[in-house]
Amino acid sequence: MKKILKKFASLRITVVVLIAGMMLVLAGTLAQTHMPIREAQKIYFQSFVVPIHLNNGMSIPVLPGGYTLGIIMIFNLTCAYLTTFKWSFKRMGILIMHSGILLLLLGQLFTDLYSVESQMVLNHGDAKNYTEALYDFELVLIDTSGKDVDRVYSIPQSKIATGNMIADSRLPIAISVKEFITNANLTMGVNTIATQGFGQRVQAVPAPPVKGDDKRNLRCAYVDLISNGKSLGTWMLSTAFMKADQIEIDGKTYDIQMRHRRYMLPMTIQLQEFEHKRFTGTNVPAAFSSRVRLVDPVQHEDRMITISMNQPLRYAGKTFYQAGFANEDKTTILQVVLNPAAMLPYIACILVTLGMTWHFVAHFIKFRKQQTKRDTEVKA
Amino acid sequence: MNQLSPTFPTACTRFTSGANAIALLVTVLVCLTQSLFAQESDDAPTLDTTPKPTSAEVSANLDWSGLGKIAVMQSGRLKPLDTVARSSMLMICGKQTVKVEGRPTHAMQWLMDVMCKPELADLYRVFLIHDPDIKALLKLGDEDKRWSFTELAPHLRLLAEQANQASDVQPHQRNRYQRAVLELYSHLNQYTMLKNAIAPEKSPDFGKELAQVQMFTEWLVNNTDKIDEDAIKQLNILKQHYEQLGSRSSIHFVPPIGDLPWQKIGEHMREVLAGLPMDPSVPLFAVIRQAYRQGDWQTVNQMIADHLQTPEQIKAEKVHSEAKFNRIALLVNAMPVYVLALVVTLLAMMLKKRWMLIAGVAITIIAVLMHSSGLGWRMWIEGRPPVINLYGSAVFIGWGATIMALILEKIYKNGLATIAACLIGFSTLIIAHHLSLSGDTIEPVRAVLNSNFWLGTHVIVVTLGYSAMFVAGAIAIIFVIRDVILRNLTTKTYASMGRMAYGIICFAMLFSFVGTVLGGIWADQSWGRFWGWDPKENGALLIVMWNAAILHARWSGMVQIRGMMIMAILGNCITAFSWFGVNMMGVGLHSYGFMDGAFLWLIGFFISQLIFVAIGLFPIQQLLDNDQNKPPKEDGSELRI
Repeated sequence: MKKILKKFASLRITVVVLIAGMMLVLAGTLAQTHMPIREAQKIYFQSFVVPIHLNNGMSIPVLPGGYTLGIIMIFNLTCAYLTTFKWSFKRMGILIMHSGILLLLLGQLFTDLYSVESQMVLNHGDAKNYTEALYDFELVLIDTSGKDVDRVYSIPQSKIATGNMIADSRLPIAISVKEFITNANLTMGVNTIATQGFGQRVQAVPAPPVKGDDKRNLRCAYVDLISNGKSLGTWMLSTAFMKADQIEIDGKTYDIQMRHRRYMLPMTIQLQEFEHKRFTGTNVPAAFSSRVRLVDPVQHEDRMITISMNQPLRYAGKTFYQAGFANEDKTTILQVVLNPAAMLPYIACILVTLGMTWHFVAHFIKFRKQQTKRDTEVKA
Repeated sequence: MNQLSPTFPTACTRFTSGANAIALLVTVLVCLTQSLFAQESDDAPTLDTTPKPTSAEVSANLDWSGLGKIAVMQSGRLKPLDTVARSSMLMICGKQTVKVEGRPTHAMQWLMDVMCKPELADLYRVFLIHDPDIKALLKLGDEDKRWSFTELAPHLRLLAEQANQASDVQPHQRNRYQRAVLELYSHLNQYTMLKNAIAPEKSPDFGKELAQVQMFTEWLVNNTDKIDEDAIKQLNILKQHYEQLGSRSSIHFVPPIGDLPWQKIGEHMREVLAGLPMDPSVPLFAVIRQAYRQGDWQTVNQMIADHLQTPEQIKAEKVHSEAKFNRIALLVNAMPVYVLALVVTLLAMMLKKRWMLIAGVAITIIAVLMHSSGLGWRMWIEGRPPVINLYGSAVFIGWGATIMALILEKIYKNGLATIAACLIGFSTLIIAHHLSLSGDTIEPVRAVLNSNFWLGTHVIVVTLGYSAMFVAGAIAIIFVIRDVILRNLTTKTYASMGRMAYGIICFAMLFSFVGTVLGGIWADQSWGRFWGWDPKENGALLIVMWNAAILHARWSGMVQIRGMMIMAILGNCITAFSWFGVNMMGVGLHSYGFMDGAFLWLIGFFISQLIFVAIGLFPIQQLLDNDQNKPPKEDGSELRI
């Protein structure tokens, strides 16, 4: 057993994986000239194999993907820990350094798996208690009859995009998706399919999906709402609509809307002021920051905070960064990140730096001693 | 104010008699101000005084250094007029002096001619045009590289159309021709912005115009009851005139007043029309312009001295120091010193002269001292860590590499690291010089980078990693040349060069890793993700992985000394890719250091490195041999300090 492990701990595997990794990184970097980072990341780094697609529809794998290499590297390192590494004070640097590398690799894997990025777009004076996904969307049915709280039924995008019948005992109605459009151009005009709601006055022309990192697709869907086996009509829903359609079911009014997926927050954030400084006589931004009011009724907090470049707000497990601005500096865009593994890279880096310094300094001292010896030999 | 401006009192007394004069005054003014800018239909008034070329006498007696010290605001930064002159000229012309009628004219004099005698400056052949397609478009012929504004002027409309078309294309999708057209067009624009910096380019006597405006505004204030439609109409024409002047110039000459920031003269005059008292600097520059036109250097010098005594100017000590920094040009002058050091060291090795080797190292130290003081001085002027843009990175990478090489020299004392120091010091400064052709090298720092802490840690450590990579690469190249081509490596030197390269690769590993990780932490702090697979991040990662690969390959015995050297030479390519290659892709969060045109040089560099790799691989058998099996070499005496 140990013999086999020792084989897997080979430095040769390390070198090969490192060089394969470099080829992958290079390919994934060059690919970004013709595709957005997000897509390159999926194809090259968050994958097991990287295929190239041939003209005849076939695809052949050409490079191992990021996950494959990451796993081999973790395995190789673990084997080295179990077999070849010597647990001595002299070797401490190597041990510490490589435990940091291990942690870094695991941290990246956890981040890939568990981190959630969303955005909060606030106009001057706006207050929101949710953030919105950049690309994911949802179909919501909101029961507004409650006194203090609304009841929201949310249907995830995976259910809508497949175009099936959505029926669930927890939903007050059944929804049949007649057509789903990944990206549409909307124009005013008479819609021939929709028989209900705003959608009747809007025409949706399918457009090629956009892929840019800061571009969003305008999703549209035609849905039939079915209550007690009877169709209520066809609605066109779109992430472009600012307002929800209203429907009545069994005497209750519901809002129905397609929107970017929302993540609720325990607090409300209100934009009080957005400041954008530029260098005199230029358009180069010198600094921008958002002055916001944070209200958390449970924690009894009500205070003012400034979020600026390099100074994020950390609250409720999420971090709010100043990401951008729009609308002639009246709107601020905050990037919101939830990453349970956020601390791992920090610990990993401390370990690697410490280990590397230890190892190399020890090496250097040893080397200097030998060099002095060599020098005296030369003189002699 | 009257003391400042000799033309002022006369102009004022002429009109203060009789309020009726105001009608006449306004008519004169409006005539004066109409179409003083270059128009497509050229019916502007001819200038009354035709300026003569700056005579040798003026050139010798004018206080150029005082003039160069004057602090102005341009592109968001307070800088000396000298920097404005040099960076504009470098951009437009590709060099810092231009020949006018056979006499070399330095940047400051060129700028003065452009601002004060534009009709003369228009004849100077300063516009550098390389692109054959542009030459063909403008029917310029091949015999020359530089053309004058007058020669290009008939084609302005055509160029504007072409530039417009090119600007519709995304920056990184533009082809060579489109980039060149946009560049030339922007140079022509910049030039025009300099021509109108003080006064409308065709203004015959700006001082007179200012005096009349002053009169007019005073009259407006004192005769509110007499203001009629006509006066308002005239006022609006004047407002438009100065708005135009403001938008057509790029230099903010007028110091801050109250809440107002630095202003261009046009912008300030617009405020004057709204009731703000005129800042003395405006008539002062008008006088300088007029006196310079007439070759009256005494008045110009007097005005410069007066202006430098104003509080804003006295405060700007860093700006004055920058003018001196430009003049002494330590970083440019260090280049020939590096070359000299290289030649002396190489000769010492060929002739086996110990004293020459010591001289070579000493000259290298002088060059490094110049390099260091240049770097330090620049940092003090900027008030920032050394690397805020590509230019800074070139200077700093070279500096870091020379320091590391000198430390190696201290340990090994065989002159080899000195050669590496000279090679890298010289090359990085040459690269820096070429980067300076794209404009002012000290620029305001964008909000996203605006953190001295991270600029001082992440950027510094990562660039030191680059330095170490280049030192290892240079040593490897020297190794390959001596081992394969010259075949004069003794066994001892063979081993000691191996130790040199190994040690420096360890440092490169440490710096690149720590630097990359610090970058990740910065990204996590300001963008919310530790790692985003952005091209620059990937570039840094490539360096880290390559170092790790070299070290692990060496430890596992997959490669011996020669193999490690070959990997170190490839390291040069990877570092160059990470440093410049990714910027050329024009994507990602780091692409604010975007640069054009150096692509061919990068490819050339890659090819040169691959040639060394090929040479290194030549007797492939030796690579596979263990060091012990190496054919024994004559163990001659090696030159040592």
